[in-house]
Amino acid sequence: MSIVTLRFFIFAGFILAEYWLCPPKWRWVMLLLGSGYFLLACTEYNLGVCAVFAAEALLTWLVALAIRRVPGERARWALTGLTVVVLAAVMILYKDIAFFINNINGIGSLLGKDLGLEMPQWLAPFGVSYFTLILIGYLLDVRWETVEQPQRNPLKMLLFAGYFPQLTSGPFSRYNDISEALFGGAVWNRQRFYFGFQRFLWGLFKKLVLADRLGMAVSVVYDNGLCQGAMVPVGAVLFVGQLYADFSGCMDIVIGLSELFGIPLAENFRRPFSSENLSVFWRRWHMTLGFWLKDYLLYPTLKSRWMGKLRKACKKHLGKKASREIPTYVGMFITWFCIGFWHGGSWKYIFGSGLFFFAMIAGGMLLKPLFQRLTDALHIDTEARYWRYFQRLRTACLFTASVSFDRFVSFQAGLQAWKSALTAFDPRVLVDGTLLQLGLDGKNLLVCGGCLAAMLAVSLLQERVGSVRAWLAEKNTLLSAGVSVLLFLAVLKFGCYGPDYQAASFIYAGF
Amino acid sequence: MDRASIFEKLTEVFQDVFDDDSIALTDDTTAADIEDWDSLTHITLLATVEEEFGMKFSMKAVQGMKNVGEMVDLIAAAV
Repeated sequence: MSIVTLRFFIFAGFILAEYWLCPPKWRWVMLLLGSGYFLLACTEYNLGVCAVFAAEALLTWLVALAIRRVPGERARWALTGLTVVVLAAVMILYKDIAFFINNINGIGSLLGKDLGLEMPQWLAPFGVSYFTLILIGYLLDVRWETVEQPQRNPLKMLLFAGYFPQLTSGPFSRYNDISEALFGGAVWNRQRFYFGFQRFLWGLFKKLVLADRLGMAVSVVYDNGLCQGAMVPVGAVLFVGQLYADFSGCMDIVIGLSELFGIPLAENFRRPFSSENLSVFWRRWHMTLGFWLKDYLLYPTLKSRWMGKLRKACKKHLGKKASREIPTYVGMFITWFCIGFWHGGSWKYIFGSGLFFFAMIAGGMLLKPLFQRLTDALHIDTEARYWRYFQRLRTACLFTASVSFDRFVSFQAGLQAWKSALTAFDPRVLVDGTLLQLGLDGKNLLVCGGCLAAMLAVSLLQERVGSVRAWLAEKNTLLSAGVSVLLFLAVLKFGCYGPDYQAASFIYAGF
Repeated sequence: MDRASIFEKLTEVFQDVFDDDSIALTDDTTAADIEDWDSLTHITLLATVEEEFGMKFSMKAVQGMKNVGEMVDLIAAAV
């Protein structure tokens, strides 16, 4: 059940009414029932697949309760580690098994043997990439005592892991951040409800008006063999525009929806395209994934015993500076590899959403003194506005080029296309009318332009005033209501929906 | 080890890790006050502090540390 369908709106409206009519202490039960139904509906009422989710949540609940009772530090770590491995293995088995099968078959054919391993046809539990990381994070928080009191009620554990707004594309919630609002019985707040509704509409606007419209052009470019030469960067820009509107729109919808329940979810975006380097970009794009990987993978890796040994060995043989830098690069490599792999078991994701960024960020760190000397020699004022805009443009271009690999059929297809962009770049396709044959006529292009202008205006306003919704409400209540009505009408008039139209799945729901 | 001695030794560690002899620490010093103190150098810094003081920070402490004063408190409690 997609969250941009009439069926979902009716479902959400029904749950909302039940939720607020229910006594506060039982409101979490309404959410649990709603989440259970949502999970079933998203897996075509496949009870077996939903049972995998329940088994993982209950295993985590049980282990979290048992950890502190197990005698001995080693045994506690063994239990935690084993459970994390089981949770991760289930996610990989359902989501990324193709990666191993393809690579084993590939190695076999290199050795002249046809291994002929077949791809299993099984349905993955809905949101497995999201609830698995939420459960692993919870377990580690309990182990590190960041969560002081593990959840005792198994049903509440099911709700924490399966809270339906976060199952489509995140964000990754932490127990300490969400548990009080989730289980404590939220208090009705009219303004928060209204703000939630506004944010929900804003997300629908981004998804249905812009993302799905750009998606049509993206399909024409990538699925019809047009992605060659000068069309490669054009396709990449269209795809990243679609991805941003789609993913940030989805976050606006789910965070807004959760606000309607009085439950704040973590933000996942903070104007990423105003970042001056890729490190900052990734701290503003899919923020909760970044925080998750930093706290539960990068830090423990860098603090691990074997990393300590590596640090000592580097210090002994290569000096103090290397003893600090080499372990950091190793930790970064592992983290970026995992980011890529989490996006999908394919080299195109491992490169496009992972190792390319590792190479750029680590390269930037290594070459920082050289860049410093270069900017000094060229008398570049690195504080000047033009330089900051250049850095933003460079960061956006690098991100766009790299992430475009996600949209190709394979890593090799992406490499070939970008090779043709460099060797057979013919700028005539940019002016000979080809761009008007991508499924978007003049009217549609105008709608996309208007939508982009609205997003840019909101982004600039956010930089100045923080919350645009609060700013609007404070300025003038009528203006705020007018904006909501305008958004609603824009979605009705320009949104891509209807009986002949199948709403495109959210891109991040596939990761 | 008293707080003054910890501060003195910690200042040397900071100056060494960030390669900046002008760093002067107070209880309220945070990552915002020192250029290059980001999430990556944070963990390198903590590993160096652990080595110099012969102690270990828990993951809870790593995640929750807000300023140098808290770091000094944790070191004082451990050594």
